[in-house]
Amino acid sequence: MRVEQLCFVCLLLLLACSDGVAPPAPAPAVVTDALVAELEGRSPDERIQRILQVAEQREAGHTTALLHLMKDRSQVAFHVVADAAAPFGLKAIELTATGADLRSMERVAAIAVLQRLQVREALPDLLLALDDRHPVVVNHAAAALLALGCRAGLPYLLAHAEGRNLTTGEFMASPAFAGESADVLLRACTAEDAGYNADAGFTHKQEAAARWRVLVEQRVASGRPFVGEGRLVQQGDDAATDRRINFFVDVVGQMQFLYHEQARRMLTRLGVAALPSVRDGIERGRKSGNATLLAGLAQVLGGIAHANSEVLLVALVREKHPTVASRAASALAQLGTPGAVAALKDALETPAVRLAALEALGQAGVAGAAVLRTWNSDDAEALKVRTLALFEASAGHEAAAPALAMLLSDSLADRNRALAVVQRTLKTDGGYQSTADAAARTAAVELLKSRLP
Amino acid sequence: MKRWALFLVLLLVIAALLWHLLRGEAATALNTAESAPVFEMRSTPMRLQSSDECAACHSEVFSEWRDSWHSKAYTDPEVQGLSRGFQDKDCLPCHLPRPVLETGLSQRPLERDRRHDDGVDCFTCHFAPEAASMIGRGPLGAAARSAPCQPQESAVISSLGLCAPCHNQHKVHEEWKQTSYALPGAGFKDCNDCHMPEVLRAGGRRGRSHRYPAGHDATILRSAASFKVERIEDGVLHVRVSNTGSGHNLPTDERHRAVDLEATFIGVDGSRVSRRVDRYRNPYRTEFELRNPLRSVGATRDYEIALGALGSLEVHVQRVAPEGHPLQSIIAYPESTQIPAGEARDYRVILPPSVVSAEFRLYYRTQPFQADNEAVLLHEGSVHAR
Repeated sequence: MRVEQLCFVCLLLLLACSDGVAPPAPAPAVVTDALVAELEGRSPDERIQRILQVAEQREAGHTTALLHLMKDRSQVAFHVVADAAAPFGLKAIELTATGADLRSMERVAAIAVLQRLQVREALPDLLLALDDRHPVVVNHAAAALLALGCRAGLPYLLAHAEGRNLTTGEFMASPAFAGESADVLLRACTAEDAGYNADAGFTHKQEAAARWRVLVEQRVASGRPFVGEGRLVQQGDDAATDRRINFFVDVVGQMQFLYHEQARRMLTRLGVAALPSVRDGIERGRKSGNATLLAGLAQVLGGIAHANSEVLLVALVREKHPTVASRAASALAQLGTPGAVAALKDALETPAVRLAALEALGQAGVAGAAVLRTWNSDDAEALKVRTLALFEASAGHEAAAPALAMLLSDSLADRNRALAVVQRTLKTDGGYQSTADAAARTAAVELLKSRLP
Repeated sequence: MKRWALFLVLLLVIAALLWHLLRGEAATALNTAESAPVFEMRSTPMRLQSSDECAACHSEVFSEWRDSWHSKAYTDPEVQGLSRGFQDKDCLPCHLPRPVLETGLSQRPLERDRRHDDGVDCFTCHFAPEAASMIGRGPLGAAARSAPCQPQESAVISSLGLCAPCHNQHKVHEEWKQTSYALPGAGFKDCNDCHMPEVLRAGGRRGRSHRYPAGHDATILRSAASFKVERIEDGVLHVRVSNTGSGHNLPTDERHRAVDLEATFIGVDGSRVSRRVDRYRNPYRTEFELRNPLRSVGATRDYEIALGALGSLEVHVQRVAPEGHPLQSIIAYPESTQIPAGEARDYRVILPPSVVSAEFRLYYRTQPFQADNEAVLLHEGSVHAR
């Protein structure tokens, strides 16, 4: 090798070992932003007018304040503030408030401004806003997400047009505003009209909502973009957005379970676009030995149906830490691909992940059942889990008697394990409670027997 | 000349590469030293598999732990109900934890998938995975040298970083940090002082109780709250509920625990009417409808309670400044009505003429829907109104 070539190889090596990008610049100052201070003491109406003015006059420099206002008094557990010393220049602080008013319309105004100004950095926070307790806030978050190229909010708009809560599936107690605003936003993003009339009766609204569902599905199938739909941010497009998404990845490795839960949900909703950041997060987790981060990211990957998720999970299921490997096994079950089943079959050889792998194979249907039928072990605990898994993988056709018998076991852990599997398989728990007395449990099991296929 | 220049560049690049790698090592070592305690590494793997094996040498401690709610962290029917048999898997890391030191001090542990009946077990606090050794406060006796747990002394065992990872999930640690107990000095008290009190073991050795008296222990609960009921003038009562005995809010814990002040009024004809007067609790993040009118110290709240045939009574409540504790600054939204350490709630109750006496009871509930007969009656008092 010539000296020049050697130099070139060394330079490449140096680049590969470096962080790839320069250390992130610290984010500007935060919630004590001028806009937040300016709103203090104003009436709710004045506050909303002032927030909307930011978009009308295209005022710059209020992103942090808007990101705070869109979460103020919502279910979101944490706010993101600048911290020059922290990785990605950001840190999470508990979201607290002492005021009496609920400010849901201020959250709508802040979201509308972020949408109008096309603030890509708001993407993670908008994904969390889909859990807002006020459906109108959710509708606007869905519309803003669409403008940023993310379709994660569309199912919420369609559910709200029906007057349903997407998460619970139940009809809302007061669906009027939810349906009306969903209709307005669906019309804006499709340039079509489903004939929804907010003043009409229930049946009419259900029919119109069904038409909306068809119209949206047709649009998605056609490949045509929605009106005003942006291009979904890709890693490398926008440094501030990358930094924020990477920060949310790191939140998965932090201490508070509420933070984890919300960060995980955000990343799953972001879907394929989150994969590069999740992959980088896994590397950081491995380097720093942060098993919490690895275990949480494994859960995220289970919710992102993509070939790269499978690749990452197949590696995670081989991790030395049993909980990381077990969560990866459960996530592979969610993917349910042939590659996932093959990885789970291999994982059966590792005692630390065996129980999770068996449980996961149970959720993998026919392919899982094929593996489970021939697998054997002298590990009594594993054999119990295998029985349940076979019951689930065969949709209740095999191992039904021992699986239901486990609901009467002396071990609470076995009963809980059996209950989870029976519920998933038979779509009912028959009124069974694992902590109920033996007579009540026996009665519930008798009922469940009648539900077997 | 050109070759020499290239050779020089090559040397510089290699030097830069080495510097980068060494800097990375140094940074990693620094972070590890800051966050992770240092233990003596053992070359042999530890032979213990479950907490039951600890009983052979530590029968007294084992028995205390077995009776404690740490060991019931998974099997507790209440937790089973609230987590739907742990189908809510986010509850598992703290109710069926692997060793805290595996994820690190002050980091939430991860869940294990076996030995469910042990809940929070010996390994959760005492096992140092990297050292392949159990840790304790010491001093170690001669028998420790050949003990299968390969024990070693470490101050880490007294660290709040072992408690906070789980107990701060519901904000207990945050509440304590705002009290004067958390300030360095003579008045400093931490979790261990109240929840792991010193005990004298067989042979005169001093140890720490592994019963962890807390939310399920009536004695420690009663010592947390003080309660006073008195008649200040005809038909006018004064009731005071104070958090004078705990190093955190009363009750502590975001979401679950609740303390209720309940009142029963007795009419001239002997009829009894019971009405709940007030609830102290930090609601969960989705319970937005719950407001706290007593947001700041000194704030007051007036309301009327209908007593049916007995008429109606007027209640005036005031949030009274803490004695000996700094003001707590954080009120999470939805708003907490818990009583911060040192603070009190003063009630002035004006009874209708038809009421001749009143009884007050202060209940502690491990969850808000717990019935009176399952709750702990902290204190009660009755007073003739006339």
